[in-house]
Amino acid sequence: MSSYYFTIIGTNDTPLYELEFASFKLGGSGASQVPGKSQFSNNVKEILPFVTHSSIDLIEDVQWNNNQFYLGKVDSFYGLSVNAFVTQGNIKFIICYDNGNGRYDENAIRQFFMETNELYVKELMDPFYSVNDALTSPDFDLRIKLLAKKYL
Amino acid sequence: MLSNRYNYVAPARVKVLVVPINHPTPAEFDGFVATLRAGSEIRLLDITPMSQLKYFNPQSFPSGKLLYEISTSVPDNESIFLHDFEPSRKTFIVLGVGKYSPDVDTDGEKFNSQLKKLYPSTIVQNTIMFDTPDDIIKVLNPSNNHSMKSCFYFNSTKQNLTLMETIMCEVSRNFLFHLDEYATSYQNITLRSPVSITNSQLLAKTINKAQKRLSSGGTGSLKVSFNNNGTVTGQMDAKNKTQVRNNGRQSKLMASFYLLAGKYVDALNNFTDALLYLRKSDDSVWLASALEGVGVVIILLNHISVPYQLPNAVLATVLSLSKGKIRDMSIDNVARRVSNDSLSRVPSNSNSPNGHAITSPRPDLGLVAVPELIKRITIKVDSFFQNSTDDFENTVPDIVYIESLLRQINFMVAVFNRGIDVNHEFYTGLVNGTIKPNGHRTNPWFTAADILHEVDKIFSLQLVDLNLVDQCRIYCSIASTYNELGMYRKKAFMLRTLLVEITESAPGNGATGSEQVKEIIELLFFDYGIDLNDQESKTNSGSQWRSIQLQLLKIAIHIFESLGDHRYLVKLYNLALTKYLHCLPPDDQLRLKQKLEDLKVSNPDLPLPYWDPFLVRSVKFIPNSNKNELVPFPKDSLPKSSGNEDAHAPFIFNPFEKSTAQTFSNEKLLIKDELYQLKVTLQNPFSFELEVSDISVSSADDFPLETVRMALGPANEGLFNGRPKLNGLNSPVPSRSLTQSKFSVNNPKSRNEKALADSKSASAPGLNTFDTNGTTSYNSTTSHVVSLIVPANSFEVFTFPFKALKSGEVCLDGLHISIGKCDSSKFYIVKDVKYDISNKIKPIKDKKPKDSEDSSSSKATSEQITRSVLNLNVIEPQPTLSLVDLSVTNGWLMLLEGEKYKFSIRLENSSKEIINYLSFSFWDSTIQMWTSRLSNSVVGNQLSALEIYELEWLLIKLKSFKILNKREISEKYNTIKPNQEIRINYEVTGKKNMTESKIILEYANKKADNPKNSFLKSIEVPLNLTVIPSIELINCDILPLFSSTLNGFKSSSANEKEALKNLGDLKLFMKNIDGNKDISDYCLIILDLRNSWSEELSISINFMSGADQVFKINDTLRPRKAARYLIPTRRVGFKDLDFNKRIPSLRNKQYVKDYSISEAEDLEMRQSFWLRENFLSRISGKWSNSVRHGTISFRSIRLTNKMVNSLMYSRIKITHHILNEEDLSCVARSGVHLALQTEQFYIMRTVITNYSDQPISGILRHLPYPLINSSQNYSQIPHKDQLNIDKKILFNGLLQLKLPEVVEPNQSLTVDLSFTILERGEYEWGSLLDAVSDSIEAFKVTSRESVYVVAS
Repeated sequence: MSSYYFTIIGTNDTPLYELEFASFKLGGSGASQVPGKSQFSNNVKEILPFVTHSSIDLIEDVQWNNNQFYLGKVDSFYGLSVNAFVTQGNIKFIICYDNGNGRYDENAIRQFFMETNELYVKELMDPFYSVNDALTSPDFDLRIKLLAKKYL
Repeated sequence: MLSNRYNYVAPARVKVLVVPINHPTPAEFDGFVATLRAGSEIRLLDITPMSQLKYFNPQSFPSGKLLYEISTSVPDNESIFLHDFEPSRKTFIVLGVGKYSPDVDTDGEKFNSQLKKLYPSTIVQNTIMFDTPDDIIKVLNPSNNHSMKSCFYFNSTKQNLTLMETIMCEVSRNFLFHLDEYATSYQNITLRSPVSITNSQLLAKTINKAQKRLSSGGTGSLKVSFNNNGTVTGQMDAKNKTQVRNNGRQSKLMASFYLLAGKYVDALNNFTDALLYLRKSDDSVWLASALEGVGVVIILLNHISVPYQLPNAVLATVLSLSKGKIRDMSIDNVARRVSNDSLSRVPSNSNSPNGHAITSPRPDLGLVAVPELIKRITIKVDSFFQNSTDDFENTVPDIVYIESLLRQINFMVAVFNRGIDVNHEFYTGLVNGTIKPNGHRTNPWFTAADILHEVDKIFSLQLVDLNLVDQCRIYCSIASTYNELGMYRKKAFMLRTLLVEITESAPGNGATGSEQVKEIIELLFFDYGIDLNDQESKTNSGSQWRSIQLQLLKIAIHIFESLGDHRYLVKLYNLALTKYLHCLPPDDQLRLKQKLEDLKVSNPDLPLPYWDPFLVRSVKFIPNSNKNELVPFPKDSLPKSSGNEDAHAPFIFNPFEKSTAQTFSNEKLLIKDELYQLKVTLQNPFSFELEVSDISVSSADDFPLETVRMALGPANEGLFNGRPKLNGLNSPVPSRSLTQSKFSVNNPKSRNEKALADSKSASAPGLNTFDTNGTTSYNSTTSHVVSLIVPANSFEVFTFPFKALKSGEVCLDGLHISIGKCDSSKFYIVKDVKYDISNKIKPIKDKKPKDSEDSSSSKATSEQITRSVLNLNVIEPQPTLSLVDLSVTNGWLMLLEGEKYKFSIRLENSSKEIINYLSFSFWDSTIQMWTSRLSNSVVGNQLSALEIYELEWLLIKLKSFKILNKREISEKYNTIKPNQEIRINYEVTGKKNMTESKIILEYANKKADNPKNSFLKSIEVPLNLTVIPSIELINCDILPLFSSTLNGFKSSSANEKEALKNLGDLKLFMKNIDGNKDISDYCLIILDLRNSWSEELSISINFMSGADQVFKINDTLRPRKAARYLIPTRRVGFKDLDFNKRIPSLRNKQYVKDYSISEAEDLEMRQSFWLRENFLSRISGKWSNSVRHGTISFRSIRLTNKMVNSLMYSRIKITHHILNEEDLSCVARSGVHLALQTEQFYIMRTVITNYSDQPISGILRHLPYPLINSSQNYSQIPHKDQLNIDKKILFNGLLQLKLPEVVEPNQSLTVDLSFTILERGEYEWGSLLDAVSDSIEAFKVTSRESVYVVAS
């Protein structure tokens, strides 16, 4: 059961939204675990923001060499992989995950990003929301979690 | 030199350990090491040839170089197991360096033996004595002595570096000599792979993992199929294979030694041999190492610019490059290499021991660009290292693999930085580690992604298992790599990992090097957007990832706690509390506060600023309750300063011009040396209580202010209510005893109570007493200061007294506050923080954190915060005038209306200031009434101009008070000196409706030099009044007098025995009228007066009837009785008064034409007004009795239209006379009536006189009517028939006729109408003129007097 750490980063490197979760697809050993609860150890939890932050370097490098919004896997650190997605407004979606059992579906992550982008755009149309504000809408949170459950 | 450690040519460097001897100071030692480093590259040419050496005779390869790595750190023994595998890890030379002292000269050898004992693994131990005098050097180091030495002398002050190199050459000679022995000793040893037993299992695992990732990573270039080559080795039998392997390892070791000794060609040959053997024996680890060696040799040969020939066959096989591939690679780059790298194309004639000479069909690897070649080599090295994990015994140790990777990365970064520009300079730079980016980052060999991929390989290994020093080195190296690539976030992450590693592995270790750590931490802070020096801004331009920042801060705190750098710790704690409060749970906040306090307790000198810059939220000035008494001088009373040209210039009112004159606010006025209060709101956003131990006010321009340190208390109302006015400023009642009065200032409530109780010994009577100057008497002892507490997560309002010590304008911009154990510092009054929200674009970060970025961000900070200031105006002490005596008992007085009463007041200047300005004014209760009526009238436009004038008159003209001794005061009292008394005599007049009144005295110490800062104070003397009506005018009328009136009067007068005295006077007056004047020029004013008072009052009325005629009335009116008085007066002509003047406004209001009334009505009103004014100016009345006297007011007279008509001449006068037709004589009057005979002819002569200034024409209408019954009431309307004169009067002419000619001004026209009366009866004959004029619109004039006729 993979664990994920998903972040939306604003144009000035400020996190707008953070979510830690685990795959909802039962991966054999996870019978006793709460579904969706991330399995990162405390050590890893601590460095997740750092890994994400440092991967912005690579994303900013890659995003100009690529005409896709989805940048694929951009970085890794020890057992953690980092996939990223850049929106039209230069907002970065970054997902950190440990593919402990080696099972990782690139397509699922792409789909997840695509639909998250749609949600984000909807949020952006909120007249009370301005770019780089933290995404605090509980509805947005819920929808992201539903997406996570659906794809990851 | 950490960076050199992973230089690509590091395997060719000889490690030299430098240790201090003879106790040099650290600074001296550092100097020595620096000198040594300057000579760390020695050419073999410079070393004395040693032909006896088996391997390393420098003579055989003079262009070679010995590269030293000078280090001062003790070698780690953990890598000893790697010394056979990679000899460059071994520290070969130990150098003792120290300062020369005379007793040492013979002991040089002794030091060497000591060094040998300490560092047995080294092969050379030498000493260098610095700062040796020249003469001693000559003795000890004679230049003609060419034997091998181990002790060297050097004078760093005089001798140049060449000599240092000479010494290093000598050392090198020793080294080569001993290395030769050392290498020889290896000849018959079976070399084993360096496997650390403890780690082996783990290593295998990690490598396996790495391999897996490698294959899945999808980097095609790395998929090198090594196994294909296995067919060659498979044919060999095991024993032979071991032999071959051993040979290979031996060759590789020797090659490494050659590399160290600077004999690069030999090294290349040996490596080639090793490659051949090792490849055959499938010894991946050693093969990889050998291959790497080849790469190093290639670089070094390029560095020393020696032509060389690559072992193409072997290399091509090992690198598994096909001919075509090599050709592709080389052809691509031929053009470039012609210019850059011509050396490598020169065919080498070096003799390969195995005779692997180049055969023509072989493609020449020498044609391949060096970076490309190295790239191929590194790929293969990686691959071999990874393959080695298959062989359990010969698995590569992590450290070896990682260091190899780091060296490769180093090379890649170097190429990456230099771009395409690969020349000799590049190689030198690469060797020395001094490559600088030249901005050309395009090169055909390495991209940033390639480098990052290499770095990722390192992370595939468990660095955590390595020893700490190695980990640190690795992290540093990676961080610097990221730095080179411009990835500051990655770099920051690495450094952060490094710090975490250090803190976790080595807690509480070492108090040194905190400066460097600080540097790293500050670099990290910058990269993660933490600004240590900026406490105030909430938004920074950079990244704001709070969780990251907080974590980093925690690490930093952890590090500095173990380092014990308190100053820095305070900064960090403060930062955490200031900027990350919202992320900190209450426990952490408490802990941080506790830590800060502990720090302060343990070293009191530590500066400990308070952590919340927004402490002071608002400061309000509490004006004294008697604030109203100070009024700035009115502007017009101030002398105009140099306004001469202004005075002449016409004043043009510009409504849009903002007045620049500053309006004076009473609220912000305070008197020097007097106590005032400030109300301060402090915030406490923390979850712990704040203890405010001291507050003092602070001004922007060092204005002297004194904060009275007294028991500060939270703002409770009791503090002020129970408090008399300080200093007795102009209190309304005499209160001279104020200075002795004691009153409680401190009203301890809530939590202050406890605090006060603690210091109960301090609560001496003096605590609550003000002395005469209004200062507290206990501010000298600090023990009385009670600290205040701001509860957690709340605002608290405090008040505290202060006083200004100088006069002038103060700008209060903050407070000096000390909180708890924190240092007292100034807190500005923060109004608002602006948030910069719309900044979507990320600023491009500068690599240097300290330069421009900082200053600009701090500038932005000050702009983001808006501070407020409290402007106060401090003025000099003001004088005080107090009332001493009032002659009116208790201030109560009863007056009759119009009564005048005299009284006096006595005042004393009870202050120390001179009063040089005194003005008087009054107030009574009627003012308000009239004012409100006036203001209401404006709104509703209900009052006519007449009524408004009357109100204004009551307000402005009718004064209730009068000063009697004005002249005396102005003469006698030029100034009122301190304690001087002044007496003022007043006269008060009883005014209707007045119930209370005040005498207002404004006084000041007016300063001629600074009139703007002079202030008026006022004292009010109240008087309570009861005004009782006295003589009232209850009615008024005006009767016209006709020419006939007096006749009738005369006749009746004889009977009037009971005539009033007034009537007698009137008759007398009438008689005195000149005979040539008509009686009808006069009229009678009728006044009804009433005595409303309970006692008899005598009245006296004077009326100016004419220019010199005074009509007097003297009478006595009994209580509650009324009487009627007649006053004759001349009628007023049109010319006598100017009725065109508008009704004036006493308030000087602008004239507004009232369009709701017609022109005629307006004229009527004006007439009425001016007639009344005229009347009032002529009449005056007084009343008196034995005790009281006063005036009679006639203002209640209102002139009705009828009264006006009676009083005034009309513009056109029509008079009638009836003449006998025969003799044209006037018919005599009998009483009021004219007696005519019926059937007699008479002539009605009508005279029209035009008094206006316009010629008049028109139609005259005669209106004869029969009088129905003279005794009947007029109100009964007669029947139409009755009014008919047909058959009653016969006319000879027209009753209505047009005037025969125009009547010029002041001309008369006579019109005759003859008539005869047919029927007996009484008739009234009047006439009416429809006048037409050119300028005036048509109007009607009736004859003033009708003719009454009795026909018989």
